[in-house]
Amino acid sequence: MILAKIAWRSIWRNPRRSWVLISAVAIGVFTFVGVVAYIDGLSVQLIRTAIELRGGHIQISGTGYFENPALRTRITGMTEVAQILDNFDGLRFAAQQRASGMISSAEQSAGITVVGVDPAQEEYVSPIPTLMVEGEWLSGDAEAGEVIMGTALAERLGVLLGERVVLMVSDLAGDVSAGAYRIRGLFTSNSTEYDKRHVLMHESAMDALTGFPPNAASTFAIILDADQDIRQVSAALRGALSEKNVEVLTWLDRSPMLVMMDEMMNLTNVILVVILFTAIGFTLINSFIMVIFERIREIGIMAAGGVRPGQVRLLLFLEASFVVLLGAGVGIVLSAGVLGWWSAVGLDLSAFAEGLSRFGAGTVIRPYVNIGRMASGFALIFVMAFLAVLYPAIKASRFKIVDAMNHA
Amino acid sequence: MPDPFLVEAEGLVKVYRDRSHVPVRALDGISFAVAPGEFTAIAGPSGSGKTTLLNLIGSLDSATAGTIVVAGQDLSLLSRRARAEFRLRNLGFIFQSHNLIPVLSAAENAEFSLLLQGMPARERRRRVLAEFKDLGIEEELTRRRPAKLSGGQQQRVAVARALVSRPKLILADEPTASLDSKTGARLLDKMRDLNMRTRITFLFSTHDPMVIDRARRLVTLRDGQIASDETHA
Repeated sequence: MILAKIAWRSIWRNPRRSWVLISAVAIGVFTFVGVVAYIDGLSVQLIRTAIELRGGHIQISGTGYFENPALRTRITGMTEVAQILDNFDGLRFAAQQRASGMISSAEQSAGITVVGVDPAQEEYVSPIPTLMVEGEWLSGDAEAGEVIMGTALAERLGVLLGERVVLMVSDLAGDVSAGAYRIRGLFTSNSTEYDKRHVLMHESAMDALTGFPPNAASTFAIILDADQDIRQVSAALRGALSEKNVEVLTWLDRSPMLVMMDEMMNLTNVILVVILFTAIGFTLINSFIMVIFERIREIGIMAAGGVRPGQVRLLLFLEASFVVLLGAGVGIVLSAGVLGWWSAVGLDLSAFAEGLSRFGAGTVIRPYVNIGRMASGFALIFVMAFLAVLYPAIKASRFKIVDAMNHA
Repeated sequence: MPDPFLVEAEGLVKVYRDRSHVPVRALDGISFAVAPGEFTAIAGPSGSGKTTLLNLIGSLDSATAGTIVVAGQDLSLLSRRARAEFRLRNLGFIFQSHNLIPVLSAAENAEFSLLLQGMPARERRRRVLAEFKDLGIEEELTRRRPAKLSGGQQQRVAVARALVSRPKLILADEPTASLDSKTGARLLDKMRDLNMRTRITFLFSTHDPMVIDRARRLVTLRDGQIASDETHA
C-alpha cells in the first residue's frame, strides 16, 4: 500500500513528463482501438455479406454439390429435411434451387446463376428482399414470370425495370431450356460480384424452367441466431441428417479464402499492435531510466531502510502501471467518443466503392468492437509496460546502497 | 547465555577502488565490539573509515575480509533480500542529510518501516504520534511533506523514523552536520535521553564535538585502524 502511494505520488513529481507518457499511451490505445475496430468492422461486413448472400452460416446440399454444383446433385426429400431442421431451435432456413445459365437482353448476354426461392421463406435468410432499390421483391405468384436481379447486372445488360430478359439453362435432362421473364425488381447489395451474377425467381418457375422435380432442392441456407455455436449446430445437423445423402458445410468450410483473409486481418492487427506498443514501450523505457537516474539516492535510502530489491522493482512496476492505466483510461474515453460517433455515421469510403464491393464490403464501414480482442490488446499494453520497466527496475534493485546514497 | 555484544567485528578489512581504480584500504583489520545500550561515537579525521565502518555494521556494504556479527547474525551469510529484512527488523538509520522520502508526509515517512513490517494502522499511528511528541514535532507538521519542513524538523522526523520501530541498533552518520548547533544539541540530548530510557544502542560516526562530548564511549579511527577506544564515566 505504501509502495502504491509512493508510486502514485511519484508520477506527479514531474507532471509534464508524466502527461507526455500518459498521452503517448492514450494515443496508442486510441489508435489501437480505432484501427482494430475498423479492421474488425470491415472483416465483419465481409463475413456477413458472405454468410447472407452465399448460403448462410450453414449450407446443406446434396453430397458433392460444393465441389461440383450441378443441377442433378440435389437434395431429394426436401420436406423431410425441412422437418428435421424445424426441430432445431435458434435457426432459420430456406430451400433454394440453383442452376448455371445465361441471361440475355436485346443487347447483351452474361453468364449467371439462377436461384429459385420461396419468396416468403427467403426473407428469413436473405437480405435481398430489403435491398431492393427499384421495383419490388418477388411476389408469391409462381405464374407471374418475373425475376429480380442486381442493378450491376441490369446495367451490364442494358435493361430497365419492367423490361424482359431471356434466361437459358441446361435442364435436368441435359437439354437447353429457356424462358422470357419480366424484371420485377433491382437490388444492390454490398457485393457487386454477387449482383452481377445472380438472378432470383420463384422456385416453381425455376422448377418449370429446369425440370427440377417437386420436393427437391439444391441447397438449404441456414442462418443461426447470435447465441448459437456454428460448430456445435453443424455437428448436430450432420448427426440428424446422417441418413440423408447430404453434406453440411459451414461458411468456414465453404469460404477458405475469406477465412484466410480474416486470419490475415487478425495477423495485421497483431503486427500493428506489436509495432504500436513497442514504440510506447521504448518511450516508457526511456522515461523510467530517467526516473531512476533522478531517484538513485532515494532508492538507496529506501533500500537502507529495509525495502527489499523485489519491492524496489514493484514500486517501479506500480508507477508504470499507473501511467498505463491513466493513459488507457484517457484513450478508452477518447475511443468511446469517436467510436460512438463513427458507429452512428459510419466511415464513408465511397471513393473506394468499386474495390470494396468486389470484396463484398459496403461503402460505409462501421466499427466493430470485439471485446476479446480489445481485452487482449489492453493486456498486451500492460505486458509491454512490464517489459519496458523490467530493465530499469532490475537496474534500480541492484544498486549498491552505499553508492546510491552517495549519488548527488 | 545471551550474547554480551550487539556488534562484534573481527579483522574487518574494506578495500575499494577510487575513481582512478587505485585500491584504497578504508578499513585495515578492525576488531571491536559494541554492547547493548551503548551510546558510542566513532570519530576520526575525514577518510579514516568512520562511515565505511558504519556502513558495514549497517549491512549497507560488504567487507573485503573479516567477519561482522550484528544481533547474533553474521552479515556475510545474508543475501541482499535477507539483509534488507535484517535492516528492517533490527536497525535504524539517521543520515547526515535528512534523506526523507519527498512524496510522503512527515508522519508517513516516520511510519515507513512500520508499514513495511505490516504493523496495524492504529498501532502505527499511536507510535508515530508518541515519537513525534517525544521529539517535539508539532502535530500540524505531521501532514507536511519534507520540502515544507525546516532542516531541524526534517532531521527530527528522520530520528523518529529510526526510533519508531524500536530497533536494536541505531546507526547515525554525522547526524548533526546539517543542523545549527542549537538544534543539533537539542536533538542529541533527545537521543541520549532515549538511549537512557529505552536502552536502544546508538552508534555515531562523527567529528562533531557535541556528539563526542555526549558519547559514553569514543572510538577513534585513523587510517582505517582503531587509534584509541575510550570509555567515559
